[in-house]
Amino acid sequence: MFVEQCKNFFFLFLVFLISMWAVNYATDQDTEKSLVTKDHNAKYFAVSYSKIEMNEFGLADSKLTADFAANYNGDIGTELTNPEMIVYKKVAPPWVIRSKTGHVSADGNKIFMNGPVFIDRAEAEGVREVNIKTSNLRVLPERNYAETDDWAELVSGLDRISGVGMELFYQDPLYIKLLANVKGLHEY
Amino acid sequence: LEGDARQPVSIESNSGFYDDKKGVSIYTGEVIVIQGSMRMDADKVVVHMKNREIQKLVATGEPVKFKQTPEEGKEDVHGNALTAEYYPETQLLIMLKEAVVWQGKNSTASERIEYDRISEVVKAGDSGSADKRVHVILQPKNKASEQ
Repeated sequence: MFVEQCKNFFFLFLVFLISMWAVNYATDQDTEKSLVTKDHNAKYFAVSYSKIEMNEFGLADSKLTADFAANYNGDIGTELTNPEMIVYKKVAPPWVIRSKTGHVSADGNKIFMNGPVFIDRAEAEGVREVNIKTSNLRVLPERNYAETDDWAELVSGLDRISGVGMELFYQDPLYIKLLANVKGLHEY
Repeated sequence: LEGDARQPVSIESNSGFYDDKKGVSIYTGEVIVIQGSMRMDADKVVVHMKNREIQKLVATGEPVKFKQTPEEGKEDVHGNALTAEYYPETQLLIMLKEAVVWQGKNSTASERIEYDRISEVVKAGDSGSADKRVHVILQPKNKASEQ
């Protein structure tokens, strides 16, 4: 009889322990989740965001604008709506890089132009109009360099060259590497 | 062929390079150039632009291979060389270094051969220097086929 009672008591104590563990485990999960959601609130936001980078001669090197910018804590960085980056050139017209959304990395060194991206340079004395279509472009302003793993196509006058994967070096002179499946069409 | 004159030049390759200032596009790795009925296979092709139009293509390879289909019923013209310069505007192909051109059993070999795609005229050798010797093989037509 006494042994029976001990068994029951031990079984009840075991159930109590498991349920206490379960309660603690569940509350940890919730707090983590709430922490993350709390992090995704913007630290600050800006409408008609504009950032100009000057060179050592006090001239504008590049200008980054966006309809809306929201900066977040941690490693999220600054999210941009309709970002446009203008890279000024000494002689030729500037290069203009546009996309629908983008973001600046937390350390400010990389700009991600997400989705379809358009890179354009107007025609001028001695230079041809150039239009580049690609997507998901990573821009490294400090190195005057941008790259993508996606398909990219450059159109200039009657010439068209496309490929998969692109490296764009946009200091003077500009040059572009296309990494695979390259197709060129030259009319005259 | 007649219709080749204003056809666009299409190029395929493993990788490409565009230099905005020089107006040069460079294609490397299994490069195939096609214009109308002409095809060229090379390791590297550099497209030079001038006033926004193609001035010339310079192809290099081990060797560069060239094939052209002349009028209907005629045999294809083939060519090999280490370097080939092609001028789309005038349809002139200049083959340099170990150049050979052949059509059927007739062949011409020299260090420099010019092939005019429009008139289908082959000019071999270089009047400027004696060392561009020319080696021509013209197979006699079979007696039977003549009667």
